[in-house]
Amino acid sequence: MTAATELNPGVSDSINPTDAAVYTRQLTKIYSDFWGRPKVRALDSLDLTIQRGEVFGLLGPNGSGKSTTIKLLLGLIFPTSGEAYILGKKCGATDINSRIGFLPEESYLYRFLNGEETLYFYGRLFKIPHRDLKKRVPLLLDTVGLDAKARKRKLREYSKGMARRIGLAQALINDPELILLDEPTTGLDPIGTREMKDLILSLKQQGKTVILCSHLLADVQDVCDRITILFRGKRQTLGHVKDLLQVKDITQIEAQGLTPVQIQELRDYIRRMGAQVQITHPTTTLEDLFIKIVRDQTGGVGSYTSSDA
Amino acid sequence: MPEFIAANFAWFLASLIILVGVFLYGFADITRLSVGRVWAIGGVCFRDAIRRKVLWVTPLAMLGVVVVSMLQHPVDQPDAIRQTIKFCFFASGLVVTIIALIVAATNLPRDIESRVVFTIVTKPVTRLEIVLGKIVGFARVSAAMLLIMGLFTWGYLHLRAWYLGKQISWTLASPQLDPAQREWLQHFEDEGLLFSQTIYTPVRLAQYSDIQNSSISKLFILGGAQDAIATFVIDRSIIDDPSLAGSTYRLVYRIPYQSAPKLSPLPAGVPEPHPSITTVILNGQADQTLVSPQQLTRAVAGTSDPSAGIARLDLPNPGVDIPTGIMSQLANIGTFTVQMIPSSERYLYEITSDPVALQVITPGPDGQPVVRELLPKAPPLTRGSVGRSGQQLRSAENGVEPLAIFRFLDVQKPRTINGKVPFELKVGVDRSAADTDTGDKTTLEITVADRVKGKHFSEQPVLVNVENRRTAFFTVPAEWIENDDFDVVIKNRSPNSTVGLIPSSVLLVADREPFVINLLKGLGVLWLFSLLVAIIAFFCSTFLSWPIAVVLSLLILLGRWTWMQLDTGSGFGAQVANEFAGNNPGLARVVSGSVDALTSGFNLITSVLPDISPFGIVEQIERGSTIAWSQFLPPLTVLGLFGLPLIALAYVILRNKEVAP
Ligand SMILES: Nc1ncnc2c1ncn2[C@@H]1O[C@H](COP(=O)(O)OP(=O)(O)OP(=O)(O)O)[C@@H](O)[C@H]1O
Ligand SMILES: [Mg+2]
Repeated sequence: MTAATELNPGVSDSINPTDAAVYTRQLTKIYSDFWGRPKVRALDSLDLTIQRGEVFGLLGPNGSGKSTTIKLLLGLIFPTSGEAYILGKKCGATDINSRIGFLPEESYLYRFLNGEETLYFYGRLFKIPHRDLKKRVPLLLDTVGLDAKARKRKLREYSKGMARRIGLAQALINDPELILLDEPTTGLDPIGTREMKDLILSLKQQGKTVILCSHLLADVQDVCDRITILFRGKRQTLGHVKDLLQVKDITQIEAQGLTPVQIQELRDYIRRMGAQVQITHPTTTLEDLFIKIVRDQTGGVGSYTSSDA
Repeated sequence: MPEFIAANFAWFLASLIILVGVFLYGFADITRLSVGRVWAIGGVCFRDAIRRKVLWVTPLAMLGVVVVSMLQHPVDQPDAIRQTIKFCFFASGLVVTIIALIVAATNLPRDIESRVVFTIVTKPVTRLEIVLGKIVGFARVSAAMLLIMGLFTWGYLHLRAWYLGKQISWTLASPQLDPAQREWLQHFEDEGLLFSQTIYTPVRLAQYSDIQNSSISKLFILGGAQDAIATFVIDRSIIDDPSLAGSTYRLVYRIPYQSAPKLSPLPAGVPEPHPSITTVILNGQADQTLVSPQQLTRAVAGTSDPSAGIARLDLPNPGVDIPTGIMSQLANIGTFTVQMIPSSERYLYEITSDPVALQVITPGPDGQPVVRELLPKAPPLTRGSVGRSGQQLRSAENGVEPLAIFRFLDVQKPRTINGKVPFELKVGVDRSAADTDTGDKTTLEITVADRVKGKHFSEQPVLVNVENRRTAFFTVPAEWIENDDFDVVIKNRSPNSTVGLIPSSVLLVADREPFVINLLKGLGVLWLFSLLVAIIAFFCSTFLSWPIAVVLSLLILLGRWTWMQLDTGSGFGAQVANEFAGNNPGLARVVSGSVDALTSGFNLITSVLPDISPFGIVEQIERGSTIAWSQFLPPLTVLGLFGLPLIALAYVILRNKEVAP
């Protein structure tokens, strides 16, 4: 283990894979070139268990393997070794997809359809009856904040944020149990970002599992129950956000308007007994933690995005 | 490979692929198959193609048709309409094929490249539904294009027909019109220019000579005008069998001959020619020469034939010897045809059921040769000697009248007009040079022989005037063809012309239906073809980048056809060996063996490639002949035999493919 030691992983590893929302063991992905020669070790022996009902954050610098993990979980690519289960089924089984929602890194949708048509199309892939779609589509478009005019426009004409919103709506069309969001807030304005966070929290309230990839740490800090930080395809840390940000061997006392003499007195006073003082564990920000991990790995120099197979 | 599997290799392979690929490997996906999802995927696939403006090629194609039909040089109005039909169908077929090819080859790569496929395969959509959905989409694109082209074709042809019909009326109104031309145009004035008819073609064409006023029970051929061919099937045992060591091989003829009944006197000083047979050995299909007369030797020396050394056999000499080397090559090939070309129009040769036999003559122990005889596999076929436009039919000469026999089988209740059955006749005409300007007509005499009753209705023959390569019409009394099987017998009544005939020179017009139905059927066949093209292109695009997929699709589509054009029938190896190593038997064996191995390898490959010939219907529509519903069966078979396995393979490939770019 590295500098950021594993502080209360939160979940024991002996969990039954069929109970967890996501369970991976020694999951490895090596991208090969045309001749089958290994090129990039994008993900290296990832062990991960995500409980149902959690909001889980997948963090890491660019190229650390976050999207690769999600693609593996969805069966878009196949693992080189190791195994992965999603909602109790081996990854890649099509039938499980009816309970999953996925928002890709960028909104990859048919650009010649308009917003409404897009949702109808994906709805039909879930065999949702037309009657239900008629109700659900406007509702979803409201939820993601696309107005009546925008719905009738072709996706080709959408702005980046609008495309993000329709992408999110498409991920929610089937009222999924498990939602995978790959960098959901990129391209969103501050209000959009706020709404996205609120949406994630409301999904959590509905008992849904959300897996979130991001490097916008503030977002992650606000909504995630637990996080893991990936670096060069390896898991660096895993745990509850609260725990990870606690620095336990230091106690901080906060007071207001003290003179140095009084502070000295206070010290003496505390030494005897306590009154009117606040003692807390100080927290770093997630940003500090993130940077510390990356620094520790690279020794503070050089590129951190590339990794060798 | 067991015989049964080898014979039905394509069927066997197709079923195996479908069974394993879809029903075993993809059983779960079969049970989950949803028509709604397939249709939804097909829908966006269709819209994608439409958005790429593929339909805009249709106005271009229409413009092309209009321009080209303006520039055409038709001989007359019926010809003009036929050419226009051809252009319309050619243009429709071309655009729909090209668009199907490109749309199908690029669709999946584009989805993967743009990663839209991420949002599709993460839905509960099986790869089978994706494959089927895409193909449904391509089928809809082709259908839309064909619908547009079909509407244009219908409208444009009717416009042309209306205009050309007017022209015909004007031409007919002119008093100084040639009667043959009038007859021809009147037919179209009566029947309209756009039509479709059910047509019966003869199963075969034979010729022989009739001694005037004699029965036709004996088969004669006329020297210099006709020949007979007989096909042998042999194997290597006649060379390799040790008990036949030292054998010689001889073709013997049993061909009685007689002088023509009314011989015209020969010019002074010209000696009476001898009756003789020249032997040529052809391949099994009788369309390629394997052994020329110069390579054979006369069996018996000392005849009066002046061209000594050439195996011209003066009857009644027994035959020609085949040198052992040549016999060995023929045995490698296995099937060959003996062509018997009789000489001199002053003789008639009777062709019995066994006019020729192959003798294997082995020296016996007591010095007495042992003779074994092989007969042809079927009775001989008699033909007219082949000229520029088919088998040549001469007029009567020296009291001998050649006959062309068009054999019809299984003609079911043809349509009658006023108690007569209509036929079409199209022949080539060669007039002797001196005669070209005299405007002499070429007249054919037509009778019918009922083969079931054994009756020849020759009392009141039908006479038809013909012109070179132009369809003429005639009718015969319905009672002549009361039976399903009959022969149409044609004689040439014009001494100065020779008529060229092919089997489809005589056609029976059995029924008519509206042109629009035929048009729709034609578009249907084109649609099936576009489906085949789309499936092939889509299959290739599952594992290749789109430009390479397009090229490979073209190779698959045209491979078999190209190979057939190269025409390497059985015995190709021996032919090549003949040319490269004629007089070195060891080398010849090696060359022939390896060429044959290569050929059979290619044959195997091409036998699993699709045969696109059943989709060729343009000529038939152009000719105005009705497309039978049964004609949909061969294209559907090709589609099933080739398209379904490819769908199964595309599915298997896609299931094992990482769809991330
Ligand atoms: N198709 C591919 N072929 C080869 N290498 C790939 C492929 N896709 C990703 N990689 C490599 O795998 C590694 C992980 O990529 P991944 O997309 O998972 O990173 P990420 O954590 O999502 O980064 P980002 O924050 O930039 O989205 C990178 O080094 C990348 O170059
Ligand atoms: Mg990523």
